[in-house]
Amino acid sequence: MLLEGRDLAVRYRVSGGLLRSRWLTAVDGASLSLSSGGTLGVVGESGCGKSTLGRALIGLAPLAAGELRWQGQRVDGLSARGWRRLRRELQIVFQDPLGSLDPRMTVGQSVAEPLAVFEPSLSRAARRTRVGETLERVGLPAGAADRYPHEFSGGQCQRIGIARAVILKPRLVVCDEPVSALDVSVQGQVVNLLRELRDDLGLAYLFISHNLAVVRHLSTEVVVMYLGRVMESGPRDAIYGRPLHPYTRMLLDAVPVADPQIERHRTRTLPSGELPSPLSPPDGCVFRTRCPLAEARCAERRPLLQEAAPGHRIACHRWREWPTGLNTPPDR
Amino acid sequence: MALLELESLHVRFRTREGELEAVRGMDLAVEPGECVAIVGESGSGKSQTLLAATGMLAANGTASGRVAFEGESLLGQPARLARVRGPGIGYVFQDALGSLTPHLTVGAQLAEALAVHHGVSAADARTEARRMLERVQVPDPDARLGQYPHELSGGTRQRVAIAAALMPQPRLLIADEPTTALDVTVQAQVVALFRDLRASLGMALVLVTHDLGVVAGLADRVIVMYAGRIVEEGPAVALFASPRHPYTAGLLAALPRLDDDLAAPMRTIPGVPPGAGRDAGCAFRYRCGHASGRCEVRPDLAGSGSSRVACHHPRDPGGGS
Repeated sequence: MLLEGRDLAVRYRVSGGLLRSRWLTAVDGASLSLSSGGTLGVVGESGCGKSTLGRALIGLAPLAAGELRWQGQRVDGLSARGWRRLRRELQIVFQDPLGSLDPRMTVGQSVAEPLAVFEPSLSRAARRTRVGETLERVGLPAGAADRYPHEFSGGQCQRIGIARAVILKPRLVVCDEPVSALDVSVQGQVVNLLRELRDDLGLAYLFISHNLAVVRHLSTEVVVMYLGRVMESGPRDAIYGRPLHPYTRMLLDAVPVADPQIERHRTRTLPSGELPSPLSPPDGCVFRTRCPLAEARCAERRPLLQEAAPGHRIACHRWREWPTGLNTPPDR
Repeated sequence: MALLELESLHVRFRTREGELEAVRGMDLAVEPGECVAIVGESGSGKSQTLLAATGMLAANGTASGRVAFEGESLLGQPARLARVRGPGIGYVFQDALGSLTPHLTVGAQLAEALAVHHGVSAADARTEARRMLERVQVPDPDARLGQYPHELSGGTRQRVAIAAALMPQPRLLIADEPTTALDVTVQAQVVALFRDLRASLGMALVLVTHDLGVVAGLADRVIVMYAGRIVEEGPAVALFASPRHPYTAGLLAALPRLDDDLAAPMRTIPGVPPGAGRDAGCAFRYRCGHASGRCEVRPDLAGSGSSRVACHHPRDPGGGS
């Protein structure tokens, strides 16, 4: 295993007025693993903790509990300096392609930054060659190095962000909503590029997105999160083809189909009510307040992730009772 | 008579880099009760079209052409616009925080929307506000009346913004990317709400969006914009089933779906979205697989009946290319 996390938690102290501080549990009891060259998709809606989890896995958010192993070595207690040393192998691509680049730096300077830190002995000429090669590898001309970010479109800026993330040939790249800010017509260009880079460079990805159809394209495994907890995880085809958790099924059912004939006559089962505050999540199963299958025991005991099929894990007391009580999603 | 009519609308902005033309001659007629979706990507001019029509352009923008609501010309008529906005035309924005007043409670701003235009008493307005919150399925409406916009979840905030726009019973509701900032389950709920409101209130709806999935659930008619112009329009069912403009077809193919073939790469439109430069030809020709020498001259929007396309090489109406 490249990366393995068990019972990971991330908590933030939030101000609750005078002399009172409260803890926000952004991620609670998350377990996951990622093998070399694989892609773990993390899906869920706002506030589910998917971005926080992604950051915690590469040392950019503090772990409050749990065990995290990188290539077999414990890294959950690592100091900032320790994480910096690992940074060569762990990179990140952000959602906002233009905002994540320094507008005063040329594209070449931005892409070369990791080289300056990790390969300081590289000559200027060698560095320039590496930058040019990397830009070409992500589908931009080498000459882009001398220009500034604002001269490029959103899709091109995201290619620049990807070039910066892969120039050191890392083992793992966390992609945090990498195509969400892009026009539909160019989203696929970036997804296809990420797929090619994975195959050519042997990268692994943690691919975080709210877009379930995009996640399906890249992922080998998928984790579904809700309010900081993992609801379901497993191989891609199991999650998309045989989703077991009521939340996963409703999430998939909510995705619109671009066909008026289908979309207008469709009835959906959607989570009822509103997302509870992460400051006071429900006892027991965190999804129970919005779940049509919820019953007394869901409030009493928190369901643990249990294996429903090889590699397919689910945190629900009632998963065996499917599909009664909910619409069956359309065939896909 | 059409409810809203745009004729040869142009929108220009003065910028440091010179003049930028965001909308380059737009014709549109919205009939009472119908739902028209204006679809396009960033820079297509879809939002600026409606902002110009309702007198809400940024300070450096100017609109020319003709805009009429129920036959009355609106362009350059601030007094008439002020009268029409609200009871004539309601507006819902992508960011509900932007369409609500931050320092007013939900109850106060809903009541205000009514009092301004109808001279209703405060008590009656509050009763009506509560009824409207129920109407848009806001959970726990009594508690919401006393809350401020920032205390609400994104989905509830958007429902409140819709309620505020609906209070004066507009004949036309313009919704600009109303679901873009929402999570997918909330988006599905808001789309269902719009469908339900149209059926019960009979208002016309202009939906401005980049999201073809949302369009499929709501629109009677679809207008596709690219680089400030309409490239295709037609009834939603026909346009989705057999798009005629290569851009429309490309956009539909590029939309990621849950049943995409995973062995193949994702379908995309090559190249980058258009810049703001002037162009005598078809703006899509740089990204188009069908482009020829003829495309150096811009094609007119032409067609029969309700379907029109601006392309020298349109695909067969029966599908395929």
